[in-house]
Amino acid sequence: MNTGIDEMSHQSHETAHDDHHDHKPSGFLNRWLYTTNHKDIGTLYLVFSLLMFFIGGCMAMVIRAELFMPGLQLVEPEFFNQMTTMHALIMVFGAVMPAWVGFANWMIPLMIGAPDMALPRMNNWSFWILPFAFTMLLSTLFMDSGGPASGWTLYPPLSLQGGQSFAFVVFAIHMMGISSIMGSINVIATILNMRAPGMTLLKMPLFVWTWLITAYLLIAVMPVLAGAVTMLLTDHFFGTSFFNAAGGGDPVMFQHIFWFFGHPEVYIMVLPAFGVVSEIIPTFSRKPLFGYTAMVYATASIAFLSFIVWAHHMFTVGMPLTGELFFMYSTMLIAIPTGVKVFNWVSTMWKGSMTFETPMLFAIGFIVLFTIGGFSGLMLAMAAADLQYHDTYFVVAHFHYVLVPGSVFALMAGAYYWLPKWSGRMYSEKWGKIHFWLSVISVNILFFPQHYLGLAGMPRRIPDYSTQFADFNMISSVGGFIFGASQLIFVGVIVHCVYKSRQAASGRVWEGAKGLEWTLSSPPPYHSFNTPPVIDRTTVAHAQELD
Amino acid sequence: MKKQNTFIVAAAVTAAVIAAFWLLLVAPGYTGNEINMPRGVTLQSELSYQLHMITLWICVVIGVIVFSAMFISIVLHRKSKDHEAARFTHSTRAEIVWTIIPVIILVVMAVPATTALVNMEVAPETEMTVKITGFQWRWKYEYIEDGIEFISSLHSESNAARRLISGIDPSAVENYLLDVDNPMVLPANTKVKFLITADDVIHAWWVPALGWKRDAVPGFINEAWTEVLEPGTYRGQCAELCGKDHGFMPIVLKVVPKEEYRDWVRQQQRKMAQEQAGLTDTRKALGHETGDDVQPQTLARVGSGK
Amino acid sequence: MLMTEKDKMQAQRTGAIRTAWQLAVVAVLIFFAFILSGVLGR
Repeated sequence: MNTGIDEMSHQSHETAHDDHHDHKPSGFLNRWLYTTNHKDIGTLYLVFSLLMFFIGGCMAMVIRAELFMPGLQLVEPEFFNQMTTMHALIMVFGAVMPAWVGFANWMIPLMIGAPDMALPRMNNWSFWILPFAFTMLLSTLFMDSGGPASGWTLYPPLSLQGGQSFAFVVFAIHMMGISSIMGSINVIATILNMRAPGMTLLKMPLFVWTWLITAYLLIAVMPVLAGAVTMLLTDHFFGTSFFNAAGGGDPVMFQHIFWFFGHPEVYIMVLPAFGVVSEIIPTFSRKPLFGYTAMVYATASIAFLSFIVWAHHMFTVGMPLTGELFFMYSTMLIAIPTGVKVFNWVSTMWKGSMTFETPMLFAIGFIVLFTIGGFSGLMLAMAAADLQYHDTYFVVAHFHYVLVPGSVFALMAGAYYWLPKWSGRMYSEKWGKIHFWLSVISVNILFFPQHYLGLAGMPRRIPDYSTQFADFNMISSVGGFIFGASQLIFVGVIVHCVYKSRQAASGRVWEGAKGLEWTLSSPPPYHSFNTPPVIDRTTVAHAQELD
Repeated sequence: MKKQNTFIVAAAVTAAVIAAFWLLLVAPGYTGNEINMPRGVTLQSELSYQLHMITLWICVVIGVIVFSAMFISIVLHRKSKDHEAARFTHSTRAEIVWTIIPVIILVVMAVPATTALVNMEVAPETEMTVKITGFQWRWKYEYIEDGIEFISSLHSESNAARRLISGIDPSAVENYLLDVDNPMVLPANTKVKFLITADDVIHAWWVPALGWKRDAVPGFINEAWTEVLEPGTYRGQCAELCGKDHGFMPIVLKVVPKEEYRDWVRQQQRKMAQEQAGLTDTRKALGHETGDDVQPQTLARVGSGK
Repeated sequence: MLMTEKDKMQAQRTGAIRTAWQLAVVAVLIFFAFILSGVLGR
């Protein structure tokens, strides 16, 4: 269409013209502390989350070092429990979730043709709360009563045995929750109100869809977590007995409330991963995403179902049989839309024209290894068998498979995929591939033996174990050390790409890439889309209606 | 197919056949110990094990099918082999098929899943009751009908070896971290009801050979049951984080023939009577009235140095 | 009446702020609902 192309070149000319005018704020504080720009805020989230990955990772190294051999060699049991608790809190709330928010900030406006997020000042606050929250959380490790040591699930009465530092844990969680809620409000307001004309909902990239749905999940469940930890706080310090049986309360009620948050939470961590994989596979298969509409419906179904499965985390707590059966069936059901997504990804690859750059390698790794995590999840859903699996390393293996070679691999895939767009430079493909291969091999050495440990009878959250568990623990620890070290390569690749790489990236970057973000320069101008872009076949990857 | 592709596919098929061979013939021999869930010694453990194996096999088959499709595609449909991308974008029929088939598989799985759970959870008429109380960090067992009770704590040898930099090699300790001073003793082939609770925080009582675990929640009583079909010694651990020594409060269950059990009960009753007599003396010596203020478990706690 | 670019952007912003408030109210209501459930569930 002539008009379309003319408009596009006119618009890109406009953007280039604007480039001379819109300069980034001068001064470090002005640029980073006061920023309302979605790209800079995205960068802040991503850098923050990378730092938190290494902090949480160090805690994992302490854990794997202590578990390297039977016997206690390095830390006291109390400190070990602080490590397991903090490792999870940091990874879940400080690494994975902020990383996905960082991707949302960077990519959503670019993908829908919006100039920025809907509420740019609130966006700034959403980020800057986090460093304070996590400083507070980490500082509890240095307080007299020590950091939280009751597991990230904070079950009472055990969590109520913590000392004064527990108040800071609760406040930190409140702050993180407020940050997430504000961020999600921003995402929804942006997606619903600021799409470029012609960008209907069913033309949006799948990554935007998955974030739209994730944002609703966040708003629904973060307040629930806030309620739960507030009740812990008042039980601990203000004499209430929500969860204290002696006062008429019920410790199990906490578990219900917590997991009502907790289960959707794990889907919050994984839905954006589904979105990223759905962007990457089509690009490197040079074929459109198979079954776009089905993928949208499948994501929505997963989100809906995630609200009615929570008690599968509580099969041993003494629930009535009917309850256990209901939650078993609903949990089994979630396998259906998840399977549909996997089949659609494979169908996207099928009869494509594939190349295997680093983003594609991580995306394929995700599909295989997340699916394995899904299988152990299906096994866990079988309540009668779960009476043996629960609270063992089988569970630890399951959730690490879906989170590490699951969500984290998707984060890395997305980072490699969009880094050239963000920085304007190509990363070292050789080192990217080395990072991938080291990671994928070591992550399996780290987590696969943990399935066996759980089946053989090793419980979770223990600093020392009986000698029959020694071999697989040692193997797992070695995998852990290699995996941790390999992530330094990731940092090296990023730093080299941003500061040293001499290979410029084109606008399109990847041959098969389709979508609005690739119509901008690399890096995009500080203010992209001052005028709305034109939406047509050349700028939209997912347009089943256009076919 | 080009020669290179044929080779890769042939190698993959060979690997798959070898893996299938191993899985079918060798792996099922791995029960218990290092790799697989134990078959156990009760009806419940057998049900749990079978459900576990059925689900595992179904997952393996689905995984092999899906990953083979992916692998074949990765080998054949690549740009470097000059494969040109097809243009199809969707297929409603495919979506329906690969939704319906998994639903059918799940419905089929739900049948043994349901019967297993019902059989495991619904208690039959039981012949005796043991009340289990979790403490930080030991278990108390009370035999309701026979009137005996005692504390079961980590065996002193393990307790010494597990200290930070104790200098003692764990492999030198027999049943390291899985041994106690006073094991629970039960008669074989007897339906036993358990009443499980806790005194301070949530614990969980778990003996893998029995096939289940149950949370011990303070202020609430959870019911469970078992019937152990084979005499022997079975070991388990606390399975809910309960504080610093969560990893150091194991469970040992000695299942003996009914006659031997009755002998043991008589022995325990005698021991308790002696302790009561000793307590009365101690109370009198301390100048207390004879009352319930000094409990056997206090003596036990004092005795173990905690 | 033809909407200028500026009008359209203003309308977008108003719509966005309305959405934001609605969601914030929902979040706060959920928070109190679960505290209430805690009170009632005792």
